Amino acid sequence: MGEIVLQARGVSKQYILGQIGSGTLRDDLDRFFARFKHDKREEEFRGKSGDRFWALKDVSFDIAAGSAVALIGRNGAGKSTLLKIISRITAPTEGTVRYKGRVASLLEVGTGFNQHLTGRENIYLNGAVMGLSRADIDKRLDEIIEFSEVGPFIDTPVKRYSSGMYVKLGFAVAAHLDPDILICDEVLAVGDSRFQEKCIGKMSELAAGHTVIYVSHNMHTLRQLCTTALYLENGRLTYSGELEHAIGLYAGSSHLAETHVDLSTLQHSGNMGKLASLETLDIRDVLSAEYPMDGVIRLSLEVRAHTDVKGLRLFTLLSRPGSGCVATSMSAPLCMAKKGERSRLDLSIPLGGLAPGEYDAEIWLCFIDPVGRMVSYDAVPRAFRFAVTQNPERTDGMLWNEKRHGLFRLPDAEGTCTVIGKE
Amino acid sequence: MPQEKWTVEIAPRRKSLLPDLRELWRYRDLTYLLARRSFVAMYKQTILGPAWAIIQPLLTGGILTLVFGMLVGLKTEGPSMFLFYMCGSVAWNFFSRCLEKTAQTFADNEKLYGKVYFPRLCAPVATVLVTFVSFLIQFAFFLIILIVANLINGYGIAVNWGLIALTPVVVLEMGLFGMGVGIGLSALTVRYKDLTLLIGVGVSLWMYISPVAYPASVLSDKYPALRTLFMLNPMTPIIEFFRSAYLGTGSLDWLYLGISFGVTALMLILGVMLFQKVERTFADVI
Repeated sequence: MGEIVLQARGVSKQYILGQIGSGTLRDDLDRFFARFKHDKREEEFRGKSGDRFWALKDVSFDIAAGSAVALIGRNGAGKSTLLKIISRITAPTEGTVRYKGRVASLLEVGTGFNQHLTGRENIYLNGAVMGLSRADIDKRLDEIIEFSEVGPFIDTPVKRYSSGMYVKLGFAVAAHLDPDILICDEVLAVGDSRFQEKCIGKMSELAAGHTVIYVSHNMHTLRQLCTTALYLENGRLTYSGELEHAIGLYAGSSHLAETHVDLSTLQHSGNMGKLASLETLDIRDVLSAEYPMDGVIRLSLEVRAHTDVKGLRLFTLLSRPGSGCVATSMSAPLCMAKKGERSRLDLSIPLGGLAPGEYDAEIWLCFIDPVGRMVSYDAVPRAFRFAVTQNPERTDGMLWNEKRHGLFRLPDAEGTCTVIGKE
Repeated sequence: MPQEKWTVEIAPRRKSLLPDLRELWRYRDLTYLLARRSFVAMYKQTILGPAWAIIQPLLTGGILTLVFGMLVGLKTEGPSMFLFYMCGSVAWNFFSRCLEKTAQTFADNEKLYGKVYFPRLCAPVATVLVTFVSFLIQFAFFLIILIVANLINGYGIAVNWGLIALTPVVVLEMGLFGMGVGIGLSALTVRYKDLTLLIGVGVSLWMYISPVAYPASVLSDKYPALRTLFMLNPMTPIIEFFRSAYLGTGSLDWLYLGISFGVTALMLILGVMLFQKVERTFADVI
C-alpha cells in the first residue's frame, strides 16, 4: 500500500424527501416563531418538510496513491452522492473527506461548453472549469485536438458539431487533465465504438499512473481499469477490497448470474436419454459468470446413471447468442458409474483465446464409440450463459475487436528476426 | 502518521463563511473565460453586436430627457439636460445590471455548479467583469459626447480633475455593491423563489429613490426632513459624485460618500457569506 491520498471518515449525507426548496418565506417564519414558543407545531413542520433519508451513512475508507478503485453498487446505493461529495459539489451532512493534491471529477463530458464558442475556445473554458490554467492548456492543446479527432472543425462553434464530435471533444479535454486523483462517473461510453475503445485505452493508460476512482455498471470496463473496489449498498459501505469479490456482491445483489442451475427444469435433448442424466450444475469460484480472456470455467455437475455407464465425456458447445456454435470444449473420458449411482463431475474448461463477449453453453454427456460416432446420453442446450471480458494482458494491451479480429486468438506466433543486408 | 498534509478537507460546515481569496485568484483564468463566454454569447447573432452598449444609454438618456425634462419639466443642473440624464443613467445602469445579473447566479449556473467544483464566486465576479466592459463602452461614449458638446456648444463645463482621478475607486465600489446585494439575493432566491419576481420591481423603485431622473438638490430642497434618509442610499452620493466630477454640478457630500463605502463593505461581506452558505448544498436543492 502506498501513501494514503484520500481518506473518508464517517461520511453521511441526508436528503429530505418531498418537495425540496419549494419553501416560502412564510413557512420559514412560522417555523422560526414556532421554535421560540416551543410549540408542538414545530413537529408538524418537521413532518411537513418531508421524510429524511440517508443517501450515505457512515462511509469510511482510505485510498492509496496510484490505486485504481472501482465504486460499485446498484442504482440508488449512493455512488453518485459519494462522488459529488468527494468532488465538492455538495457538502456531507456528517463526516469528513480529506485528500492530497488536485482532484478532477468527470461527472459529465463537456461541462461548461458554450454553444456559441468554437471548439478551441471551449477547450480552454472546459479546461479552466476543471482547474487548469491557460498555460497548462496551451501545453496540451495540440494533443487534445488530435485526440478529439475534430481537428478541421476546431474553430467552428460547437453548436454546429454533431453530438458525437461534441462528446469526443469533451472527453479529449477530460483525458488530458492530468490530476492527482481522477474521479469518473460512467463517462466512457461516448462516441462510436472505435472512439469508445480509444477512450477505454486512454483510461487504462491513466489508471496506470494515477489514483482513479471509477464508477460504472459495466463490469468489463471495471476489470480493465481497476484492481480494488468499494461496494456500496443502501448508502453503506459493505465491502472494500478485491474487485472480483465486489463484482460478485454486485452480481449477487442484482441476480445477474445463476451459479446453481437445476438442470432438470431445463429442456433436454440427446439420443440416448434415460440411460444417464445431467441433474445439477454449479459454477464454482466466481459469482458473476464473467471470465477474463484466458480464464478458466470451473464447473461441478451431478450426474445420475440409470444403467451402468463408463467412459462418458462432457462436451461443452459454446455459441454466441443468436448465432451458431463457435467452439467446443471436450473432456477426457471421466465418468464411470453403476446403475442408480449419482456422481459428481468436477471440470475445468480453459477458455483459451476465446474472444470477449457473451456465450451460451450447451453441455453434452456423451461418449465416442470405436468407429468415431458420438453418442450423447443427455444434453442441455442452454445450460448457462457466461461472458468473456477484455483482458489487455492477454492481448498485449490491445482491445480485442471481434469484427476485426474474429472470435479467437490463436497461440502466439513464433519467429525470429535476422539482419539480411544493409543499404 | 502524525504530520499528514491534506490539501483539502471537506466537512459538513466550513470553518469560515468568507471565501478563500487565494483560491479565487488561482482560478482567475476561469473567471476571465466565463466573462468572455457570456460577453460573446450576449452579442453573437445580434446584428448590432456591442453597439447595443451605446444605444442603450442613448435611449435611456433620451427618454429621461423627454419625459422628465420636457414633459414633466423637472429642472436639471448644468447646461445640458441630455448630458445630465446620460451621466446619471450610465452610472446607474452599471450598478443595476451588476445587481440584476448577479442575482441570477444560481439560476444561470445551475448546470455548471451541479457538475464540477470551482470557487463559486468566479461566476458572479465574471458577471461583474462583463458588465464592467459594457459600462466602459458606455462611459467612453458619454465622455465623447461631453467633449464634443463642450467644443461645439461652448458649454464651458468645469470638470473637477481631482474627483475624476477618484473615478476608478467609485466604479469599483458600484460593482462590488451591486454584486454584494445581487449574490445575497441570489442565495435567497434559491430558497424563496418569490423573490425573483420582486428583484426587477425593486430595482426600478430603487432608481426612482436615487437621483437618476432628477438632481439630488431637488429632493433635499423640497423635503429637507428626508434629506438624511435620501442621502443614506449608497447610490445617491455615487451618482452625485459622477455629476460633480464630470459636469461640475451637484453637491457631493463626503460624509455620505464615506457612509456609502461602509454600506458597500457591509453588504458585500453579508452577500458573500449568504452566498457561501447556500453554495455548499445548492446542488441538493435544484
